[in-house]
Amino acid sequence: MRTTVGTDFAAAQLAGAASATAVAKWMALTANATAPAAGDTTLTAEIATASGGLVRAVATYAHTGGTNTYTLSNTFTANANDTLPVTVAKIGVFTATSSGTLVFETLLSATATLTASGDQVTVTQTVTLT
Amino acid sequence: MTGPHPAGRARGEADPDGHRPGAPAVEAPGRATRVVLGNRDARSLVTVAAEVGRAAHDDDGDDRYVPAGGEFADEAAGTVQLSTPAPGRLATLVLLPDGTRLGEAFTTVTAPGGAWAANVHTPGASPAWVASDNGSLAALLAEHYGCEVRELDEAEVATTFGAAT
Repeated sequence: MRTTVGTDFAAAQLAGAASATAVAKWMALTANATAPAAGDTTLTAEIATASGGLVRAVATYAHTGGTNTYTLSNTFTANANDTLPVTVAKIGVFTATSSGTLVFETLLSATATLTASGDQVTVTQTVTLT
Repeated sequence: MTGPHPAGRARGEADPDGHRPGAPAVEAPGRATRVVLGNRDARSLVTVAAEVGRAAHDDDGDDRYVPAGGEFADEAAGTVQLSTPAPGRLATLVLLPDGTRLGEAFTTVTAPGGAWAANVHTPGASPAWVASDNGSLAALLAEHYGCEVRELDEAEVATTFGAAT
């Protein structure tokens, strides 16, 4: 779902407001499974382990011209610095590598448990422009 | 050529920046790598109200039989999706993050549910052509899909996808 601050962000980007410089392309993970709420501004319990492989990362953007959707995707690989096991349940899309605006917050269609260094999870967020 | 590999145990741990050891980045640091894939059929799916099991009509007035339980039929909603010719050239733009390794880039585009599959109109279709500002990646993708490599048309990319490339 798009958060309230995410809607504000989109409006500013489209209108060319003075703040229209950021790009919502950073994807973050959390094990928190609470349903997203429009008023959320942070991703609760975001995985932010220093030098971990599951920390916020730039996602790949893809879009077909003439359509009203695009995707953001990233493959996260757990490493020795991560606290494992962890069951990833929700993702957030932010406008910066740290802090920033939480534009989208989405529960995964299926949780993913990573148990050892080297385990991977690929997340694809489809955004529909309506 | 490195083929797509599913999510699971990695073959090597990533460094703190998420890079795999021993593989070159597809582009110099500082900018995203662009890949454009041309849609082979240049068709789009439109949703229309229809009675499933009966003929439906697209904008051109052509009859299209909609089988009950068909892949694109939503019987509950009473709608079907018709594949119709799309205006102009349809292409899919993929922006790979700065520092993405060649194998990762290939997998990101070609994996089931990857950047191409998740954005293409016709399920299962392969692109008609591929262009990229990274020649090695373009060649890999062209070999994988059995399609031609084209030069990246900067003006076309800007026109089709805006200036955010």
